[in-house]
Amino acid sequence: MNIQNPEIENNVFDVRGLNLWYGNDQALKNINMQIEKNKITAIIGPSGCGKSTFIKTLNRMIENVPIVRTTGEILYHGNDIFDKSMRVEELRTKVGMVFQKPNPFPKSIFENVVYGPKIHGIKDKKLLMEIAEASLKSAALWDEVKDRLNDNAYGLSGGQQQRLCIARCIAVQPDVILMDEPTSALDPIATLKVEELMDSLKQEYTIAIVTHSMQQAARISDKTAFFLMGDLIEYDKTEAIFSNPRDKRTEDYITGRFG
Amino acid sequence: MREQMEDRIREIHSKVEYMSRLSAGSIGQAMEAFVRQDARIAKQILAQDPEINKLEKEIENLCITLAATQSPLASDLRQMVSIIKIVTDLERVGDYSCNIAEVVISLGKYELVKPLERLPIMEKKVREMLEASLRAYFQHDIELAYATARKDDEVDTLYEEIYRELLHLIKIRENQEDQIIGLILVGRYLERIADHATNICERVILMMTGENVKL
Repeated sequence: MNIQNPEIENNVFDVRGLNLWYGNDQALKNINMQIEKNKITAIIGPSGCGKSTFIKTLNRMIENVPIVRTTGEILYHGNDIFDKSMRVEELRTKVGMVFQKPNPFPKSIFENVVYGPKIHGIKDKKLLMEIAEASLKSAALWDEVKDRLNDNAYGLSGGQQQRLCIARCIAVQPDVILMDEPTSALDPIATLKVEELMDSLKQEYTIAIVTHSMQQAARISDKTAFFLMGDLIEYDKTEAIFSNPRDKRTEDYITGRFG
Repeated sequence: MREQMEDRIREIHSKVEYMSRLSAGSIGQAMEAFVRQDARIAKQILAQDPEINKLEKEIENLCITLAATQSPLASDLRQMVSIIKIVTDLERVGDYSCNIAEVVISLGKYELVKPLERLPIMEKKVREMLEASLRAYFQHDIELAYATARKDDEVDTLYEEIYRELLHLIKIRENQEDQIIGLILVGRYLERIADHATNICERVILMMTGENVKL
């Protein structure tokens, strides 16, 4: 079936009636939301609201938690990710993830970047080098590390390590990059670099980012979703959310009037 | 943190309130000087104006500090932007009162070409508009903001009438040209003050609803 609907084509993810439980605790309640192609979507909300759970569901990373149960659909380019025909490894290649704390492997900078491509069977040294260079350039790290690719990644600063993780994610040619508070452990300069990087990456990738920083969400994202206790309260253009939110609960949260 | 934000907003508010009293008060004084042809009162108005200007800068600076330290968002952000614009309006109102005072000083004592009729009516309407627009701001009253802005048309009509009548007079009373131009100017300044009151109403609506309207 080939539906020529530009709205559908522009949506990378179409989440429909998603519910998620950890055992008996419901963490996500009837979430309906679309994530648009080549846009940065920010997800905000207080701790425990379900925002990290939500993005980890998008590449089924959440299933590493044994007691998780879900209902509803998540269409990724029109295909339900929970369908039996969906290959999870392939989904996670296409939908990569960057975490709060930089987590490079205890290997060289080069080996970190080409880890994914190697697992996917690429052995050619020249090709691996090309992938490493392109990925590090995309992650705005190349100039800083090109002369020490064989140094251990642990020798990099926190900000560099996080960009290395982004490079590692890019190296397997994903379509979507999920980021779970990617700058919360970084200083303002390193944060700025990662934010600038995200802005340039959205030309090629779709990004969803969980952040606790209102200013960060306001600065970098195109659309913002506000979650509260498992509900998606409001989802709109970022400028609307931060200048004139429609829901009182959104207003109370972003102005710090909560609770 | 929220308390710090609210303390700062309260501090800004009390200054805006003081500035409002000075600006709105200056119109009444200016018109009193005009009606009595009293240069002494007029000079007092000019002497007070720097206080209004100083308040504008103080409030602006407080808003900048608020933005830098508290990162206001949503309704806080809209309120801050509205305040920055409202103090500009209030500062201009003060300037127009000074302009009226300058007319009073330059004309000195004179025999009126005709008794004042419409100008006092206009003054009353303009002052009511300005006071109502400020009340709408302090009481967060959207209805009052809309109702007040609608009165601007009445003021415009009055000014049109005054202007036409005086323009006619200027042809037949050439020797009283200065006075007639002075009267036209006073009408013009009052009309501009009403425009600033309308602006304040627009700021109130932006602050309350997020809608950037042109009334």
